[in-house]
Amino acid sequence: MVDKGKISRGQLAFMLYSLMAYDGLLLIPKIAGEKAGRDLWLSPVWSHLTGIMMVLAMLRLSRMFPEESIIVYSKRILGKWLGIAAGFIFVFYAFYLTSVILRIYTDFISSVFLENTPTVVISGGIMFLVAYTARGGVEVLGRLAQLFIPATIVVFVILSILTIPEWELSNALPILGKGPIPSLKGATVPFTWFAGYILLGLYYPLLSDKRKVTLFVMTAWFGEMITLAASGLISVFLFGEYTSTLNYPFIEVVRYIALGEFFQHIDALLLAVWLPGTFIELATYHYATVTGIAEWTGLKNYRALSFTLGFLVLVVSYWGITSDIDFERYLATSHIWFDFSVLVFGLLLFLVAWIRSKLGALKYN
Amino acid sequence: MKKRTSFPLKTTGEMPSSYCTELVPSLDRNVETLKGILGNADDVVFRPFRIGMELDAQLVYIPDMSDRLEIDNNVLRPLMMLAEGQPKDFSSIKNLALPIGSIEESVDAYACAKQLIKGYPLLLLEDCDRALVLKIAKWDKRSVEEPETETSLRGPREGFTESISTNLSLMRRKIQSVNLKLKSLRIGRDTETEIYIAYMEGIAKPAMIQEVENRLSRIDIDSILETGYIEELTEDDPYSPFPQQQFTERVDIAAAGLLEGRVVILVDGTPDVLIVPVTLVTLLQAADDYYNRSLYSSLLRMLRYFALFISLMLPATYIALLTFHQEMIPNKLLMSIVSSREEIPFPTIVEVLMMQMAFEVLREAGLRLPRQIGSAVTIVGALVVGEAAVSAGLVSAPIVIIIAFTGIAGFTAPHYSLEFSVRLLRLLLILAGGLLGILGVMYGLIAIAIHLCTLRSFGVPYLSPITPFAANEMKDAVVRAPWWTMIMRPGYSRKNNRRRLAPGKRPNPGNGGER
Repeated sequence: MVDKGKISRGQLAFMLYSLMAYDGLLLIPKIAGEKAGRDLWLSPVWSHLTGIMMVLAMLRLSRMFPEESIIVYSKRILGKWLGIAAGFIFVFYAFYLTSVILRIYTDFISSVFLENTPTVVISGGIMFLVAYTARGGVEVLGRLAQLFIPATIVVFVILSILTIPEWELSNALPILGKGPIPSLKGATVPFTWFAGYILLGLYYPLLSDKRKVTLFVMTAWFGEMITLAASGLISVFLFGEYTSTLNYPFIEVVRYIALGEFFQHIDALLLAVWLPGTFIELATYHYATVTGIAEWTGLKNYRALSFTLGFLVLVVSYWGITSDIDFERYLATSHIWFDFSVLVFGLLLFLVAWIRSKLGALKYN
Repeated sequence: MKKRTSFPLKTTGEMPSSYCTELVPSLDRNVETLKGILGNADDVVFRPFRIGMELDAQLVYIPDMSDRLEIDNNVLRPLMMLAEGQPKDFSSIKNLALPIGSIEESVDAYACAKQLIKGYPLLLLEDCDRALVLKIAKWDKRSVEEPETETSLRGPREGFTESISTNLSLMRRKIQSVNLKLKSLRIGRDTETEIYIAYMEGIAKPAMIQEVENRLSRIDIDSILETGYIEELTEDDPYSPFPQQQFTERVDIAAAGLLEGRVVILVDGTPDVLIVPVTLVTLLQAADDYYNRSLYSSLLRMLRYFALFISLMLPATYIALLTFHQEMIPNKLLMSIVSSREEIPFPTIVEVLMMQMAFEVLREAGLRLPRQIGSAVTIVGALVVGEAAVSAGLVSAPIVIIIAFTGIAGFTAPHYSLEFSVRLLRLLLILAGGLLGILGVMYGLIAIAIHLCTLRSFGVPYLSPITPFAANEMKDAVVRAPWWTMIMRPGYSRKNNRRRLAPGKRPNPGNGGER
């Protein structure tokens, strides 16, 4: 590894949690709701129950090569040239996803909070912080995750509890009224997001303690599922099948909160959950890009890449798609195929490694 | 950059070659040499006398740095009164005639001069190529008092003084263990300041002690007048707004630091001692926390965290809410704020910056002036800035409240070096909040968090035990758990000797056999 730092298992779990939870909180109720209607909260459950195979495959793969990153061991699994190509796929995925998440972030902030601020200030600001973090190394990233994520979870739980007076439980009924098919259809998008777990291939060798990693990773997986299902369920309790007509259903949920006359309009509090969480998510992807490229090209020092690549991410996030409506459509269509192919790539890598090791052609430690 | 080869004056106290003079068996020549080295040092007294009416001798000393009474009674009197038949060679004078506790020999005139400068009288004898250094220095020093900058309701009142020997004795009295080690070294080519590294053997990590020694030995400077010099020359991140070493005047804080496995650096001539390593959590622990009952001190400590947060965030949040997110302020509150701002000609951020400026100026002025005038300045300032500015319609009343409360909240930090960094970062957040609203404040906070996560103090992560998380040490972080639960020492102490107290000692009448 190019980074000598180490992270703890808990820190890894928090980072993995951030990969899906915060974007999911905003987007899944809408995207899943278009297909699943009032069953949209079940979609994350289905997607997580199927997505677990990707998690387990990446864990098994990482345990075959505990001291090597995916860039290195894919060469051992696929041979030199295919391995280099596989490394490129990984690096490109991490890089591109950083820019996609940055775009989601910018659109959200500028449409909800700062409508008149130039978007480049919003995205440039956060990208600067992300690049600064990645430059600091994995230890800084891990510590920040440990600092921020628990706080955001606490605020999320408090916000959810505060909505209880507004709940209309009958909005969720009938459950599975049209059979399981609509909610399963809604599960496709969250399922493809499991491509993110390919990052385990980069972060696993950085763990200081490699015992019982599965437990920690599964906790993150379970936490994501609960977060997404709960945010979906609360949205359904408030808005029923009209959830998907709202731009960001969960922010509307938070806008409903009113405790007396004094405590209302606290949607900016959601920013306090969402911003640090997305920041960790971006940093997790960006760090993977930076060290991935350093390792892929054989650089000794990855730090110099961080700001350069950060700038590139910023540019790519504005590339091609101009309006945020187009971007949302892209997320619900073409992007699914991109994520899905990376997911398949991860599973294929595992299958090849598994078969070759069974045949005795692959030696691992 | 070109690497500079060794600096010519690297070794401290190296003698210039022209003075490289050994003492010779002639009193006059030795006195001449000594005078040559000292040059125009008119405060030095050369006192010629005769030992037992036979042997010529000279006593050289600096009157106000040596104990005159002892010179008269224990040096001059016994030597002059020496009976005729008694031996008067060098070693018998040293061993038989001088009733003085500490005495040394020296064969080099330059070394002699240096001892003289420290206040030790020299005794030169006729026909003898050695000199006696009588270690009876004495100068005026302040007595042990309560430190004014670090007061507490409960706990010892004694503080360090400017004299390092007093400070060492205070430490020894507090920790009466042979494991308290005190390593001495001198830094400063001109001042040759005496510096002690204090640590508990077996509790402090050997690597930590070594690191402190290494960093101290790299210092090459002409003078050390205060621990601040050392602090700035051995920091991990010199441009960080956060203090990476703790200074204290209180003996109990230094002793507690030692017992936690930290290293204390004492410097002659200043009452401040340095304690390393430091974490953000240790900077928020006050000495009384450990003397008061745990529930009470936990509450106060949480209050302190809250106050620090308020002091960092309040003005920035106010600006952000008032300029960008008025809808978040409850209607009635917004009404009263807006009505108080009706007449104000400035935007909120200008108002805040102005008041912040006025507050800082008042504070600095109050600090520099003599104490009697200082209080007058603060009263007049408060009247002018507070009352008159509001009634003239230049500043709105909420701003005055916010700035005043922010300033006072900052003073709850038990170590005021932390308050400095909060003051600095508050300005940064005010600007960020004025530019980008809540988002700007969040960006600022994240930037501070990244910096804190990067920062280390002598290898210890600055935010530990919060992150990297250590459940055991959380007992003494945000809360202060009862003493009987804090079984282990903090993580920066030595690994195989972490246990502080026996487990399972929860006080309970049943444990003592009472019924």
